Amino acid sequence: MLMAENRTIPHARQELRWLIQKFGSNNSATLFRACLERNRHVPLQYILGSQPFGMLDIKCKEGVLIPRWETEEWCLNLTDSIKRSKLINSGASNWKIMDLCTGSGCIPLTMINETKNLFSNQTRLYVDALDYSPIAIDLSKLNFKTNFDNKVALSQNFNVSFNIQKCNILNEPEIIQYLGKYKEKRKINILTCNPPYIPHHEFIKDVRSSVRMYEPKLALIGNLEFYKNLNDLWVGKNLIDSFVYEIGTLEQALYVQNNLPSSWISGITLDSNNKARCIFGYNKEANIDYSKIFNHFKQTAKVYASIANSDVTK
Amino acid sequence: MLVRGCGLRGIPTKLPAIRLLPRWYKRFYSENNNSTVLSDDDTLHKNELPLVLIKKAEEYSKEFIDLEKRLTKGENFNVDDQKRFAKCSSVAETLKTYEESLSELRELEEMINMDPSLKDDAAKEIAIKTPRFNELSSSLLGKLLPVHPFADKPCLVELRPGVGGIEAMIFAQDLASMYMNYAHIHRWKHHIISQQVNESGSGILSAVISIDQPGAYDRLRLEAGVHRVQRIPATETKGRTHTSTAAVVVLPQLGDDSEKTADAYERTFKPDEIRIDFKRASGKGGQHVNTTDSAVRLTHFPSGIVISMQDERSQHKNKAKAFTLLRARLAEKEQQEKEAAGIAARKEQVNSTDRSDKIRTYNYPQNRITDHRCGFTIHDIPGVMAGDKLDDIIDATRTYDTEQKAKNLIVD
Ligand SMILES: C[S@@+](CC[C@H](N)C(=O)[O-])C[C@H]1O[C@@H](n2cnc3c(N)ncnc32)[C@H](O)[C@@H]1O
Repeated sequence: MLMAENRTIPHARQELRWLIQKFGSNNSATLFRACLERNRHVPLQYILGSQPFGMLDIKCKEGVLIPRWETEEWCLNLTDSIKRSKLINSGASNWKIMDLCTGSGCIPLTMINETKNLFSNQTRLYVDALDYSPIAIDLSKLNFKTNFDNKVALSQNFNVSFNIQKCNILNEPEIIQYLGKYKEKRKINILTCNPPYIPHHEFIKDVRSSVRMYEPKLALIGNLEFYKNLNDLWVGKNLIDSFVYEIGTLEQALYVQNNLPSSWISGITLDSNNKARCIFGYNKEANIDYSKIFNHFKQTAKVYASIANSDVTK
Repeated sequence: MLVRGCGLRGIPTKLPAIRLLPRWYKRFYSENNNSTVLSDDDTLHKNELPLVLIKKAEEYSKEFIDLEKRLTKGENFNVDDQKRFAKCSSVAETLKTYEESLSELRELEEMINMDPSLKDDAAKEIAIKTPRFNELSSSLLGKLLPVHPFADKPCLVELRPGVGGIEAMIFAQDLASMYMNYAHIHRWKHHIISQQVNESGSGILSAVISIDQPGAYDRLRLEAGVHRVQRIPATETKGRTHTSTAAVVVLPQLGDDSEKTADAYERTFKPDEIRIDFKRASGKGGQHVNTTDSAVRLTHFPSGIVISMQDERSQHKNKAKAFTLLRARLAEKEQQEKEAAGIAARKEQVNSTDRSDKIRTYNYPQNRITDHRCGFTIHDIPGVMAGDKLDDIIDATRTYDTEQKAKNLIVD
């Protein structure tokens, strides 16, 4: 029954083990229903209700994209690069990180979890997460709560604040208005985003049925809109110092690169499956030397890519 | 003192005191010296150390005096000197109290011989003083024996079936539960790091158990080796006894298996020493697929060790576990090489701990377990498998091991 979604028998066995771990083997009706769902291509993460992401356990619900390992990989690489840059301990100014298209909230929550120790009395970390989907907003709130108890505990123990907002990112006036609400109108240090990036023509051809049938199209289908929005709004209106965007095709990255002002340095990184996965960029004229972060980010991604020529991949 | 007694090597461990006075003392001692007061009561037996060992202790004492002289002259000690000084001074001190206590006992014995009227009083005094003396003796011996570098570490126990097909897989599983029962009984934290069950029948293909108690490595390291079982399989219609084996590997655990520890450990390798392979489906990846490919394979080129880990849904956790295992294997390998070098230097044969030899037999029809290294036999398989009685065997093997080590010390 599990073979519909698992190409090999060991895979199916492994999955059965996880299902049993979750539902127990004595409650056979529940287990059977779960297997039946799997047979109908329902994603395992929706059935089990979660997906590990870095150190966090991210709850998954239908209507919101399941976090991918590629995202986990670059996100941990980014937090590691931030930690190593020593930029935060040195400067006594606050930091602001914003995640667009946040979905389950896996990216900003990992950013908080990994860097929270760096923020002490003098420096505060502001993390904002935006999404257009109300289900995603609810789920990211839930994920924040389950992983960090509640806002009070986090702001008491660490100098960190987290804010989730429903917002249409492609609607410029709405964004400007949202940013205007901030008392402290400071620039965003790092903008992250994993936008919907599957072009329409690939959706039927290249997307696995489990994704196509059960994950939200709003989270998947897109092409250059969000990258154009990055260039025109975030970089163009000088709202950010640096960014990391996940990409699905090289064209998307090249589009961004070709439209960046000359004071911006950018690069494309590969994931450990040797696929172009991120475009990053930073303003070399910014007050902070972001090369300290992104040189490491770039190198680590290169190491990932070089170890990826593996014969395990069958 | 209780803690000392159980540590045997002078390492204060949190292990429960197993036995204050190791049984081997008597055996070991009687081989080398026949002039003890024999008594039925174990506690009245005076465990004097053989002369060779005393000589060794005296060398430490001499060195201690020399070092002290240097120190009073105002010489600066580096870290190694300081360590040496601490070691020598501790041996010297214990030797002194040992000898004082010994001469007290000798005087009392003398008294009995010379003046029988004092016999009762003297015997009473001896009864009081002997246990204290034995503690000193044990402590001194502990200080003279080399301390295993990983003695205070928690451990990983790896189990694999050997010859015998499904029976071997079942036996490997039995051993895995035996060690978990054992940890449970001692209230030691433990967890399964990875386990591959035989899906087409019973038993396991492999298992790695982490026993998180500091000192567990020292306690269990002699469990390593090939264990043999003789029993009638459930499926056997003619009632024939089958023989099968399972291999036990005990590794020191040098860090916990948390992701943080593993990350830090990973950074100690040069990029070209390690290769990490992820099991990845081909295709576009990213938002296009949502599979749970989290398997990790680790290759350590200098040693040729390859570790695969796939139990967890989190790739991060699989990687962390793989590194934990790698670290343990490398540490053990290094230690083995050191030991081998030591043995070669002594031009000695590896005594019965040859890795391919069966160390122990579990004979179910006879309800008997025999450890072949020390010849210890116990007739209680259920008790041992439940973890209760395993300590009896472990004590016996440790006793034997200490005996061997003490002999080596004498040869040196
Ligand atoms: C590919 S998912 C990324 C989810 C999450 N960040 C992750 O990496 O797992 C894209 C997300 O963008 C959101 N989205 C799509 N169009 C949007 C828009 N115009 N404004 C804001 N969010 C949008 C979707 O709701 C979806 O949650």
